[in-house]
Amino acid sequence: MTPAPGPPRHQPRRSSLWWLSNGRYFLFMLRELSAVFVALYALSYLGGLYRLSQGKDSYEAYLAMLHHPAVLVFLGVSLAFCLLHTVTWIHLTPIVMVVRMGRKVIPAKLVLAGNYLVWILLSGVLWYLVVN
Amino acid sequence: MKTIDITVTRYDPENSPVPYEQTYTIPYDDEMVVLDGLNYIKDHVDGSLSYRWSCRMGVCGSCGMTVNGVPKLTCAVFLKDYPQGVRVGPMDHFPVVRDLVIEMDDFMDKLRAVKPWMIREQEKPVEEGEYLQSPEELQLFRQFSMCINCGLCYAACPVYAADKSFIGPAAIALAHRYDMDSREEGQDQRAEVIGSHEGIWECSFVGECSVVCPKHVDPAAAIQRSKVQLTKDHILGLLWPWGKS
Ligand code: SF4
Ligand code: FES
Repeated sequence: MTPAPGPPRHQPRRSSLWWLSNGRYFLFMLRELSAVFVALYALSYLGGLYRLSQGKDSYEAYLAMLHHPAVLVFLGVSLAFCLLHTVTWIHLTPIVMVVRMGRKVIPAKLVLAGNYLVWILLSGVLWYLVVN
Repeated sequence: MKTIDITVTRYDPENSPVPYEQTYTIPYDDEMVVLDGLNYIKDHVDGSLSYRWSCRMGVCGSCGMTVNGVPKLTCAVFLKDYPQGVRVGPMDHFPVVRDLVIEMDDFMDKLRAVKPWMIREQEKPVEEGEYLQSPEELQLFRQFSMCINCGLCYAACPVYAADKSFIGPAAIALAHRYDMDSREEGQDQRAEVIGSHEGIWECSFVGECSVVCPKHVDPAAAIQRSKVQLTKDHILGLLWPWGKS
């Protein structure tokens, strides 16, 4: 683009703290950050599976480690971030997907409810499998 | 009469290379919008204040500014909602020409880049009549055609702030408006633009464009739906290389 004639333009610079300027930007940053915790939790879970494959002693040592206060804090924070990740993405799905039945568009609220239902059902099935 | 403090960002390149703020205390009533406040300043206090406006009714899209940190149409926000005073600045992420006037050339170029007009592979002769469309077909893109080109969504977009080559919310919403039109056959041409490096994939779905949009266009939805559509087309292209038609 050729610069327009006339006096100089002022090019404002964005503050590096822009994401603190409103709650929604902040929530977006938290959502992005949540992916890190989801990944860390998945890795720690895989670590547990690996220890399980190494025999009873190894797995019991792993279980004992889970009770360390620092690990408990990590698990608590990860759970919070996993929930945030899931809920925020569930809420974005009706924006991304337009679900049609014939010529009618399914209302966003129903799509949302369907997502929650699937989430709760799958969690229930997993819970059942783990407990039994 | 009640009074209110309006603090305005001034930029006067002939006299000061950096912008500065100036506060005006003016009388106001409950019917006055922020733009009325600026007009009062210009008419009665300081005629040198520069800003853009035209319709005063949320139609022309030219009065966009930052009001207390949020991109707004100044003709659509009331002074009474800011009893503590109001801070008005130029829209973020655009070069400032003077005071509250920004340069929109880049925005306009981007709107043009998505070819926002009807593209037909073959025009049918006039005698065959118009291209008909059902109300349901219209409904698929109607909201995306409501854009008034105010640019507020660019002022709200942190991706555009970081990378000015990003085609941006309004232009992609406009592309989507045409792509979803049942009379339209130019989707492939537009996919080259919105599917490019500077297009939809730059968007990280912050969603603030849709929050600030005064016309409920929901550009964030248009961008994500375009991502889904282009991905589908790509996979179909791989599975069905003989083409869609
Ligand atoms: S999409 Fe909305 S905010 Fe963006 S230019 Fe159009 S009307 Fe303005
Ligand atoms: S003056 Fe036209 S939209 Fe505000």
